[in-house]
Amino acid sequence: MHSLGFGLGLRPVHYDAIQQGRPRVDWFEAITENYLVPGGPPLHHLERVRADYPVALHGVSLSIGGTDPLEPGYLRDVKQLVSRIEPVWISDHLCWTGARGRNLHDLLPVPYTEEAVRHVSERVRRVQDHLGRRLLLENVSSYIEFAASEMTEWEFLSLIAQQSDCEILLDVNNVYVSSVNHGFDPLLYLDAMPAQRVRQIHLAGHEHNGTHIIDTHDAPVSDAVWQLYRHVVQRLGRVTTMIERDDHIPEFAELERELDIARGIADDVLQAAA
Amino acid sequence: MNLQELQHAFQDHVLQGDLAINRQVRSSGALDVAGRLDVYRHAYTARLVEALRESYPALASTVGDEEFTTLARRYLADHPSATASIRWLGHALAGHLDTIATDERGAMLADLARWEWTLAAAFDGADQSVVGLEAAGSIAAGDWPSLRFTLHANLQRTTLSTNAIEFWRAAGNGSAGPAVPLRTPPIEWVAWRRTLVTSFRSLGLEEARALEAAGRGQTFGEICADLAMRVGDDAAPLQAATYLKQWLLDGWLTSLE
Repeated sequence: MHSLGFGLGLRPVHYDAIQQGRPRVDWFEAITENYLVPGGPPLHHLERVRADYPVALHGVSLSIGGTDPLEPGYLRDVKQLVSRIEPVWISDHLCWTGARGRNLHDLLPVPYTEEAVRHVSERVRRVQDHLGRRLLLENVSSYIEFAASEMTEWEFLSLIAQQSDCEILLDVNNVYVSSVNHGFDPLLYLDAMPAQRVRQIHLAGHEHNGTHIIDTHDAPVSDAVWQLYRHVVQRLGRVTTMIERDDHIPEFAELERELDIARGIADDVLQAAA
Repeated sequence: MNLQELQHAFQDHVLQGDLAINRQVRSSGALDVAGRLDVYRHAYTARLVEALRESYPALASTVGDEEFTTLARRYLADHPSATASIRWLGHALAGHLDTIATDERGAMLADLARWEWTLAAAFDGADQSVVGLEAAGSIAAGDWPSLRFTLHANLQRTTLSTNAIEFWRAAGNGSAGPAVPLRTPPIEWVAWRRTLVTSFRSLGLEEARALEAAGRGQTFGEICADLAMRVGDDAAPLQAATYLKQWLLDGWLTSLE
């Protein structure tokens, strides 16, 4: 699968650094909802960045695992943004975000059941038909497991990807966070991912609270996650990779240096394999 | 529970602390079920209060962290989010503060919220092409009385009846601000954006009335006639033309026809 290389999340505090410095970043990922506005600086800056770099749109509100009907207004707005920006791809999360018309603005877990596989797969197919392109679904961090679950999370994600013919945004940090919170071996998860469907990788930092880990995106990528990333590159090769930072956002140059760690790991692994 | 029932029970826990979901959650590892569910319940409030704080930085700074958190929690209890983007979460905060205001300070805080929301709307409101001053120069003298105007869609107008603007300015530059909140005669304010820069100014009573009329589709002649009832027949055309010139300079009009 063609790799876009190594990217970063597009954050407003970095607009000037990106547009003035033209940094050595291969692509950017923009949060879809931040640009679902009528006009003004957000869309202006996104278009400026898009003129110079590939951009992927990453949504947080699709609620593909939700049981409320898919929101037609949201899908219409996303489609308009897609026409305007022409992203390399569109991703969202394998989760639900609210019910009965309310939005909790969180990435909430679904039970890993046959019922949920059928439900989510059917909704993914409808979204893909609406947008006219395949969707990337990302695994989320979770803090609970439902008693009703009939399979592992990695089996659940793989089945949905297969049944809906979508692709996967594999968040290595989320795999690690959930593996600690639920006591499974993260390598089992990573090794179960269908290689031909993993289009993109997320890396991020988290906060360890002793009894559990919170997926905070407010710190550098941890050593444990770098080790898992090395494993992923060994198995899947140079998959398009990006680092997310949503809080305590540092200077752009610091994120560039962190991205160089990912580049270095990929280079090491692939040179050793050559 | 089926998938829908499970999600409703989970949401009822996050929003109201209902416990029906607990029996549906598997207990494993060092953290018990209640602790695991608390992660979501706590994150919900923290995330949405923070989103409101980002939408209303001057209000948050004026009342301080503790009062803002209390105020935001009360608002969220009455106005849970129903939109895909968290950008719109605070859309009803000014109205909410109006309903609970009991004194000058409460009224000022509602106005402060109203003003910050107005500025935010101008910041990312619709882009439209505008007509400039040169458009007025090409209008034949005989066509002026029947001239109609189209206002820019991103002309955000609001009326403030307190000295909230002074508190807003103080919050912006980190100064102490006025000693006391005060009620004032209502003043209409307009916020708009030229290219990427948000601007604002207040309107006098006559200009506000003329702008309202222009927005309703009244002609330049009708606006002059209305103005003449208060400023006189001789002064009205010049006064109306002065307003129009400023509207064109500010980029408030998208057509003259």
